[in-house]
Amino acid sequence: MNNYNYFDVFNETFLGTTAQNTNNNNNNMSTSILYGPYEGFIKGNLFRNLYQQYKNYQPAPLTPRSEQEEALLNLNQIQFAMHELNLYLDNFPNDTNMMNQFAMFRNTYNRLLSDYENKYGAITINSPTLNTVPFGWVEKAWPWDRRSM
Amino acid sequence: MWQYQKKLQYPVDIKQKDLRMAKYLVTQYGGANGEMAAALRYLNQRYTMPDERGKALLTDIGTEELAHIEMISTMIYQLTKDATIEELEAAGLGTNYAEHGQSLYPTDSNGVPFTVAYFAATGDPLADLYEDMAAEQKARAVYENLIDMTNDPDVIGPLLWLRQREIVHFNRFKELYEYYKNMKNI
Repeated sequence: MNNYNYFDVFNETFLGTTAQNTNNNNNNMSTSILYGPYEGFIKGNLFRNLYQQYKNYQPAPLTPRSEQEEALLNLNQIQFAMHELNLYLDNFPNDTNMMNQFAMFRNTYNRLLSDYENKYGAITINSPTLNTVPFGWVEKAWPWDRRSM
Repeated sequence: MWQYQKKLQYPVDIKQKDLRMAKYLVTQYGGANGEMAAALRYLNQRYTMPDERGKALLTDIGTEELAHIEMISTMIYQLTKDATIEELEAAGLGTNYAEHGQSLYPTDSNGVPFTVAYFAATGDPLADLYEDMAAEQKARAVYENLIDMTNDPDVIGPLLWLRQREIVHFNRFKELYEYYKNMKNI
């Protein structure tokens, strides 16, 4: 392994934040229902009760090779967690605990997106970084090109 | 409306050209149980969902399927990149080259082009959601078939991930189905 340790960093961040914002009961509940953002992301499933392993296959660990890939992995895993709660909340729109989790992920996502775009260029066309020539949108690699995440 | 995000939902980085696998994998692009059929099925059915929950869930899962089309397309693109005509012919992709050159084209593994006949819309939310649940199960099964046919971890990783998404979507559709089933006057 390398020195990018998402699982620990993000669980620490989120459990710390959760403990401040919600009561202990909610915290216990959320941590038992949901995987941490990194584990959920590599599994493709944030919800422990829904995860189904295929044969003996384990989810592929995602190991960034640069600071840019690290930043993108952080962004992707939080966006994925937010999306998973989005789908859940579509069906259960009155779940306060999940709504709080969603809001927490969304705040982090917005910060990570801004940090990423400031350093490495626009992911969204409304990025404030698109303010100089040449037009950054066409300058950077496209997602299907190898070694871009 | 939609807004593009210039990144994949989950990373794809395939280092080894594999035309045989590309020929099989294309079915998850343009086959009956593929991601294009899924996206269009849900985004088309959402208009006649009976309440805001159904409209939300079909919009959001349909939108995610668009991101899965991009992942599968990326996998096919990387598996076939820089292939020579001789290599394509040897892998049984000569007919694809004759019709489409190096382009991607949504077909199933047998080369049959994508058709909207792959999905239905009945105007009945229970019937439509049951179709959606079946579609997710069929796509899961096809992902498992595909995983069985390769040893490349760069291919297996995204396939496992996409397979897991089918399981989550199946369960969300099932929850919505049960909710509507217990509702009166839908």
